[in-house]
Amino acid sequence: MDRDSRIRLSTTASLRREAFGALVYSYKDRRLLFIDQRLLPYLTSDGTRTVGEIADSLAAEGNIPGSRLEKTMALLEGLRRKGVLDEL
Amino acid sequence: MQETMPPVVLTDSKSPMDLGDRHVEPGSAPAHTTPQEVLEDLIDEITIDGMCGVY
Amino acid sequence: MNYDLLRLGLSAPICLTWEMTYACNLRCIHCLSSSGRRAPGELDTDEARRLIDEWARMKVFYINVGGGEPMTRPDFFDLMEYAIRNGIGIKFSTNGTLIDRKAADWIVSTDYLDVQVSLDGASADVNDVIRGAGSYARARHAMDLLAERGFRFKINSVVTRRAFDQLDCLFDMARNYGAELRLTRLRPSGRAKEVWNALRLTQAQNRSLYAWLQDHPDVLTGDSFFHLSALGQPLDGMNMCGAGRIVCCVDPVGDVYACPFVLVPEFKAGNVRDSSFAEIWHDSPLFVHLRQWQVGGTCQECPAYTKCHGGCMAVKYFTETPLDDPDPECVFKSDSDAVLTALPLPTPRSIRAQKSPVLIG
Repeated sequence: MDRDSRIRLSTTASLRREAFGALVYSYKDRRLLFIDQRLLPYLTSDGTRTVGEIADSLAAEGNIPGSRLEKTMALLEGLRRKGVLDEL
Repeated sequence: MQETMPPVVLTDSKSPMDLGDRHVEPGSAPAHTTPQEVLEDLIDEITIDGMCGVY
Repeated sequence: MNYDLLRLGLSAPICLTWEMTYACNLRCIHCLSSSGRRAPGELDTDEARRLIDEWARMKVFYINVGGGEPMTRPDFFDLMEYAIRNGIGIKFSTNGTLIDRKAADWIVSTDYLDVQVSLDGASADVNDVIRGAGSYARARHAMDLLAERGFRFKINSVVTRRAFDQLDCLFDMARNYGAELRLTRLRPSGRAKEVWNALRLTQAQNRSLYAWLQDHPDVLTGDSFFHLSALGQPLDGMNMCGAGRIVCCVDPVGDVYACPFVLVPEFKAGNVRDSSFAEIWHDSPLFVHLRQWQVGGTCQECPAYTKCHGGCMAVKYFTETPLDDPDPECVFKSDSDAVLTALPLPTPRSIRAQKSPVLIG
């Protein structure tokens, strides 16, 4: 995954918004993830913006996952490997 | 030269977020919280069987 | 993970237990729901479908289906398929007696369906004292059918004093089947209230169990032994009571309870025939209270509190222990073994003949 990647929630996962961010459930392997709201812009992306574009707009707001993109991408890559996110 | 880490500030937070033993009120910057720790806390995976109240 | 995260309430339970029926062809002596007879006025098929529709709208991810024996409902397959078509995963708990070849084929061919077969001992002489004559053989037959088809099911075993020495055998049995082993705590709920002190583990066994679970990290527990987390490194799971916060239970007539282990008026939040499930989940006084409540009293001063959170409400309720007192099996309680009783146990009735539910298609 890199700045130009476009991502979207997997079709076999479900995201439900909660006060703290979201719960994500992966139907395929029954994983349950608690997601902080600061990561939500990435997980609710419909793929029209790149990861880098999302990060830049977040960084402008002082959002940590925006300004620490490399580390954030590692988290997102982890979600991709778990089948929660698809790279388009 | 050592990079100075900015303090963590929650944005758009509606409730205290669980950061392990540290509870953070919206808009405040907790002491002793590095961005790396914050990033690691952004995702918490629970063993799907790991919640009591189901048989 | 701690209670603060859950104070505001989740928008829906992460999962819920749906006890579809109290009809059952067994009479296990420790049944948490005192099942055996179908309750008059069970939710009918249409009512059940509407309830599933509401769960789907709320984005409930999956439901645990039990009873009684859920496969005794004639519309069992229909309702399970309906839930899955509407995006709700199914985990159902069964005694296995009604899993024949056709049912096994259906299970294997149905996506997003998990099955746990109940077995409370690694031998018939241990299991059948609790679950009834012939129940071990029938459960093993169900497992054979599923394993032959390459299906990865769970063996669910309520850990009792008499079966404690068979944990390794159960583990091996599961491994040989390619199955997962799930061990759960005996709570004094339902019929188990009468036999709890005769069946529950000694404190020494509880300590051994904790060590055994740490040595077998792949064994599931449904977070039911979180009271043992006070012994050291927390066991896998949230280590907290999920009642009214993360989970709840809907019974066969639509009563909504905080948890399947407290099917009593004090823990009833409402009925889906009177209010919508969503209203009950979000606004019932009971659930609103539970989301703000934690075990108080001396537990709050205990250094292990963040690991066990004061233990299980259901165990306290049925032992007439104040909810703010420590769990009756608190690992630091020195006199917990004093009330253990010797056998004999009541004899469970043998398996009743039962018509299989209708398999559509």
